[in-house]
Amino acid sequence: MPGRSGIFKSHGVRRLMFRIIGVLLLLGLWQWAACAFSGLVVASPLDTMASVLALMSDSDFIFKHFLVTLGRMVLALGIGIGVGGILGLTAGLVPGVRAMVEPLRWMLMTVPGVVIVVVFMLWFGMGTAMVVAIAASMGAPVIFVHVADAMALADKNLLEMARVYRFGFRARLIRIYAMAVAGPFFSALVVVAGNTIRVVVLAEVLGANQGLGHCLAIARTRLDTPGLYALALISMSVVGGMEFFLLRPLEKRLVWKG
Amino acid sequence: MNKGMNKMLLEFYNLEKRYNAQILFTGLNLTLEKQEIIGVLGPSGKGKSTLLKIAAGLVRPTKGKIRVNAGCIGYVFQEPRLLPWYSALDNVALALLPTGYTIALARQRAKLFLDQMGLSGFENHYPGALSGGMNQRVSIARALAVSPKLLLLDEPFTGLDPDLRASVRARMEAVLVRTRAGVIHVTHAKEELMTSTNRIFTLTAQGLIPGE
Repeated sequence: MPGRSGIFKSHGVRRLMFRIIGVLLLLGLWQWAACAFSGLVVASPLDTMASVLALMSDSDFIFKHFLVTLGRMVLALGIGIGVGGILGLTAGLVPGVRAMVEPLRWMLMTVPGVVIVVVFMLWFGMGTAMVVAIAASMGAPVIFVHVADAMALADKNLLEMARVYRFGFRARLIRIYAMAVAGPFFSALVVVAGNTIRVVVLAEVLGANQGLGHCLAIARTRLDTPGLYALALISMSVVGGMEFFLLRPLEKRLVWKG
Repeated sequence: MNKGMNKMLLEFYNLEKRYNAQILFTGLNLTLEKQEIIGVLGPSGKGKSTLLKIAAGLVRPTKGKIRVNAGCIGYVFQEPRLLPWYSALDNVALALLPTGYTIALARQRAKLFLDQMGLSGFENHYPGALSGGMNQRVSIARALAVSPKLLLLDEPFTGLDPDLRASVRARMEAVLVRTRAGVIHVTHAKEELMTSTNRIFTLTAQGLIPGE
């Protein structure tokens, strides 16, 4: 009979196997679609990979486009987390602030993305400021809602105990609220990171002359389908890399699982 | 008169507490002096916990006056109320930090009080890995470690088995002799009161009535 760690190990191996099977199925489906349709409509996995390698070995692409998009994404994510997080914390502590911010939150979460893009193009012009402002204003409301809700759900009994033992504001924030907020915050962060790269690339397609989105627009006009697919794959890898190598390990380290 | 005021730790004057239209108690008067132990009896749901929360400043009375002359308060809640993401040692030590202890000294003192509660060897265990009774003892250690002038006990021995209950109560009483804290101990069972209890009241809707 396997020991406890043996059981966990076999579960982990099985999960990895299923994951690999899932990826292989997806690749198979992709290859089948590439054979069934014209290369102009669906690029094959091999052509796409060749295009990815060509792009990633081109220093011009790396510095003028890839790193520019990455920088915009990090900046937008930082501003979104900062603004959404601080407003969420404040709203969790002061219900009046939540009521005040709620209409803006509702507006930003319901207005069609393309409307925001057009309006922000008018306000900020073309380029980095517009792209970052759009992506940050789409991410901040999601962070805000998750943080404010989690603050409201912080254990009231623990907060009472903290009052009796005179925990200061900082101690309550770090030792009680932060632990209550960490789980929902990281869930929101994973969603927001994925949305941010999407919005950054979308905004770049519409109004920037640098970045992955700009390259996508060029590839589309040149009918460079493998290039188009390669850029999509690179965008996905950025989010995937961020999620699996940064956010998940951080979540594992910081979120209390009981 | 000054001497009397100095001795007084807590005073409730004509206190009333309502929840919506329901009166929990009214016309409640009580004074607690240093080193005095008061036992408050009464069935569940009659406002015993609310009375302690009023004393701790967690709940406001609907009417009446309160005067509290205690610097540091220790409070043993009905449930342990420990931070699940900190060890037993740190749960006690964290309560000491606002009183001016450094983290190292706070941990030293926390260990001392955990030892007194029979929890040697469990300092680094998290609340999730301890039994309900052990967690309650951590909570008692925390309340005593802060050197309270006023100690509020809300059914503190809930979850402890009878043998342990007697030994924890004895250890608590020994600490109380040293700290000279005033104590309000609420419980539904008279046999749980401390042997050195000075006065016993029963909580009713008309306030505190002396005796059982």
